[in-house]
Amino acid sequence: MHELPILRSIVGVALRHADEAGASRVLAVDVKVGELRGLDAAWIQSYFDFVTEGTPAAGASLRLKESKALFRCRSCGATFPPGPHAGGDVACPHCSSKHVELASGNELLIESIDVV
Amino acid sequence: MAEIRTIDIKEAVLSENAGLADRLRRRLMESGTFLLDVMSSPGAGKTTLLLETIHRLRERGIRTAVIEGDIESTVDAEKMAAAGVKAVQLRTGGACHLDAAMIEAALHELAPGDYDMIAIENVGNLVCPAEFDTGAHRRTMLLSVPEGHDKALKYPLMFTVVDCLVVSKTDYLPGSDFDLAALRAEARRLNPTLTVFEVSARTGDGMQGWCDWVADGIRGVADARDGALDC
Repeated sequence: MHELPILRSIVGVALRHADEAGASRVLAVDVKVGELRGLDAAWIQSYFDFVTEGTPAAGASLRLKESKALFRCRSCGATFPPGPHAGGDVACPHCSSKHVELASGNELLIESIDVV
Repeated sequence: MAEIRTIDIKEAVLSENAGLADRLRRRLMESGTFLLDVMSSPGAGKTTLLLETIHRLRERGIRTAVIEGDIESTVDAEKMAAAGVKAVQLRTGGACHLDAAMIEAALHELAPGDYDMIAIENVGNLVCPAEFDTGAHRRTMLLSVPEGHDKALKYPLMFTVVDCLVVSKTDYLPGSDFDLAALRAEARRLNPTLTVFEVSARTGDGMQGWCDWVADGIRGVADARDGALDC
């Protein structure tokens, strides 16, 4: 159910930018989605079609680009994917530091729109 | 035929909600009120944990109010009221989560300055509430022992957005195949800075550490307010 407010937000932002650019139609919307978001592409597309109905974005294609989960080491700056970690703590595979943070995989970002 | 143009946007989805949440967070900081968002699936024990927590914090002189989020009914708010706790019931009428605008509306029913903490009991759901910043200073999730230890794999976003995981109903651990070490490993894989407590509100086991963590958050907000006033 949370897909609907998310789609309303995506379409609202796209229409606002299209309007500001003096465009008459939105042809495509590019969205970056982190894999941790767990958003289902098929559902998202059907919600998108529903929300855009009767707007300048009707019929536009929604292009989702998935970003993979990656950690960044705060000690040496290396990035690495989550893997099986035996001890319970995530450690940097390069310098063994435990000061790591999620660098990507959590995004939900409207990257760009194609308009005429 | 008009030429197709690409417009760069780079704007986060739900940025409107995030902006309102930031404003609420600042406003509550200024009134010295700590806002705690408590999330879990239905039946993980949010109401019971909150009641026991509020009772224990009251002994430390901490005044708490609760915002109850439910799709329907006022059952939880009634439980709070019966325990002498000020509660505002939000009925979402079908929506599966609370957002910042709903919290702002609920705050109209409370005088935040009268409370050291306002706890949000979010709608029982491990998926949708993760997406919506409510303006809380800290976010907590509960996972009860009967639900099983594999939930981090199924609801990864929730595990990445919270500051604290409370494993609740640990009185059900004896005789169960719940693997605490596996849950900790999987949860920390998603969120390396996650704080984890194992708690039984029924027996009181683990309540002290959890309540200390909540009290620490309350102190942090009070200190930030006093620091801001000094400037």
